[in-house]
Amino acid sequence: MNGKKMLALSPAPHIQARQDTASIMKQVVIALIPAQCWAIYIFGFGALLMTLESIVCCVGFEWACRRILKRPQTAGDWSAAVTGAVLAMGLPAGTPLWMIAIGAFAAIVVTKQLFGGIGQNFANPALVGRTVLFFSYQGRMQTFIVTPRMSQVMINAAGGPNAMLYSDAVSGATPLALFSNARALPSNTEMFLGLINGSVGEISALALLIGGVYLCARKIISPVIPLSYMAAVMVMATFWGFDPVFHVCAGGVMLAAFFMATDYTTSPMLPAGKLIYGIGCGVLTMYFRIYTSYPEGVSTAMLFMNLLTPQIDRLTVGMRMKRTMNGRTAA
Amino acid sequence: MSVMQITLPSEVRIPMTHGRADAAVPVVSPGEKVAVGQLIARAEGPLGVPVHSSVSGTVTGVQSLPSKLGKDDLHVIVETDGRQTPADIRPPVISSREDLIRAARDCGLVGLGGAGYPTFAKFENEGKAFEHLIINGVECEPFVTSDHINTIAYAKDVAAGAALLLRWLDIKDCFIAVQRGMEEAFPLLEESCKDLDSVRPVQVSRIFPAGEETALADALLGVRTAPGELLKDKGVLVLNVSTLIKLQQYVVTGMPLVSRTVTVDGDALSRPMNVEVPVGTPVIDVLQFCGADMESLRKIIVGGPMTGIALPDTNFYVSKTDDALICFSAYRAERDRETGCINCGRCIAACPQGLMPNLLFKAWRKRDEKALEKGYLSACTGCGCCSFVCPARKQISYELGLARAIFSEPGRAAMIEDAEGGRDER
Repeated sequence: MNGKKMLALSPAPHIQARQDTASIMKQVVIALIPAQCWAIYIFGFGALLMTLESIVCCVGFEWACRRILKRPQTAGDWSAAVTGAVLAMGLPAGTPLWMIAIGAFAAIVVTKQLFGGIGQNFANPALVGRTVLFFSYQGRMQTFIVTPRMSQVMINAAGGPNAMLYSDAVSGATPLALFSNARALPSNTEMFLGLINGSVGEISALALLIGGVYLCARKIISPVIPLSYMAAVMVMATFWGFDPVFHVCAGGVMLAAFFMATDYTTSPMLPAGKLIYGIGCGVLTMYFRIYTSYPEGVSTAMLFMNLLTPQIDRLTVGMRMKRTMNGRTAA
Repeated sequence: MSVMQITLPSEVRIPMTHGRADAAVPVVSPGEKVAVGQLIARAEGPLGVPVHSSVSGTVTGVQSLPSKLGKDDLHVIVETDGRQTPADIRPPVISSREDLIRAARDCGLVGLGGAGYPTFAKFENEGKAFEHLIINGVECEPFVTSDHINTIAYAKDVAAGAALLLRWLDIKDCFIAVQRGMEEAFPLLEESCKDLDSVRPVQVSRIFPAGEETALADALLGVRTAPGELLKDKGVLVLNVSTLIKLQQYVVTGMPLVSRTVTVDGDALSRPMNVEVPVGTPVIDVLQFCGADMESLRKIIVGGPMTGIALPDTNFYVSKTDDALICFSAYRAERDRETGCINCGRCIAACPQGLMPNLLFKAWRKRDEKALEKGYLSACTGCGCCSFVCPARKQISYELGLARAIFSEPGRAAMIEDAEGGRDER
């Protein structure tokens, strides 16, 4: 009880919000659980194994990089786990471990750590990982296994139920490939629920929507990017005379809108910038789908917008500071 | 809940510097007898206010001791006699603007909300008139309730004080702002102000920093200030509610500011309390009176947890501006280790000034004076919202405070660059 008791000294504020980097990242992993469960339902437990392998690879590379570079260890902050989970979600069922490891290397080592670690990457690591795999292993990355739980249209496109009787793994086409070749498409309900073929985590719009709404409700992400992204896709689809619901549910739009485009580091920081970014992603996605030789355009569109983010920021920050100068505070 | 009178300490050490007032000059010497409310130090300098004895007893010394801000400050040490004999005091006669300003000065009044700007200087406003008055009862800092409790206890004094200011400072309208959820204080204010046409009690947001002056002026009057502009230049006077109560009580009784209400709270305390504390009471006496758990105590914060100062030890004495003593155990005392910025934008959304704290922070780390200037660093009020929300646990607000201190003086940046460059070379 003397006056000499040593007390903790620190600058104000002396309290802090509960959310820290690790808890934010953990929420993103939690938000992917519905999509993961759906993947297990459609593709079996192999889908879960892929995610676990991917997470282990990403966290392992993160740990090793920080260790070799003699930087503070960040493997425990869940950011690498998010990259791993999102990367696995964007791969076709049955992707082997060695390919996942290459994707994780491109994501964590090349895209993230060589640029300085968390917050310093110029593009979304999972997106780069997926793109590297896509352009390196085009055959395998375009091989989508059909399972009996998918809709009849998907099974017919793979040669019908009989083809599946004689083989464990029959590859089929994704709805976007069917669309490219102007063949019969699954119904919008089947698209929305996810009774279709595609990468393990992107098939069910409903499951991704549940995760996305959860992230918005927990204030982890702002709804501006996903909404503007989806709205732009729908408007563009309608503009070209296609079914807007089909194009929002097909391919990686939902996964990208909620889990990749909202990546803090590679998306603009101000709401106005987020709006521009989301619209840009949507317009480019539709452009690439319709005018390029690839059926899917999400990855390319998002990489493009990732690289434009610093410029969007410059524009919108300038606008905001002008407003501040005029005495109109944001509050 | 009510305000408890603290047990009279055996000795008080009254600081000569309170808030932003210039240091007062002691006029008593050791051995002299003093009474409660007796002048012990005269005002000196353009922002000086006098200091009065908070107890009756004998002056035992005038000593330089460390103040909470880290500078040395003269303290008048008075041994109490336990009788609390009041000095020969007389209420001031107020019949003009000048009388009111003089009364605010003679009372030894500084802003009791924490910033501690001398009240008389606020009223003076370099001779310019005010159009609007806002009585600030929005105590938005977490934990702190001393203004709230005073508003409840002295709602009539608030109304009378507001009328006094309106009359002598020739102001037309007045808002008394309290935060939403003050279910007891608001009806009491409405009741006490019902005969005053131009005084209106209002409820505003309770989210920090709603009680910050510029935020209040914006919310109530739509008066907005650009970086560098001051509210008083726009004819708006904002006065803390406890300050107004003390002024009104001085005008009625003539007893100057010798004690104040202090909120004592935090997780190292079994029960939060509001206590009336004589100025100069040792912090340790207050904590012991309130039953703080000295074993688990790891941090003492003077003021609210968002903007208050952490004390290095308990050898400090309550000054006129100390609205709260927050006691944290080890659990709340430490801040997490800083990690990399993830560009989440939470600090931008939180900044009440509309700044870009993340960009300012990066510019400061690079010592980029131009970028700091372009980002209106000078408009930062140091409210701490950016540091509070930062998931990377960066002390943005604190470091921007350093940046303000260093870059506000021309030529300093170059000096620092030289000094840092020199260190690198070694």
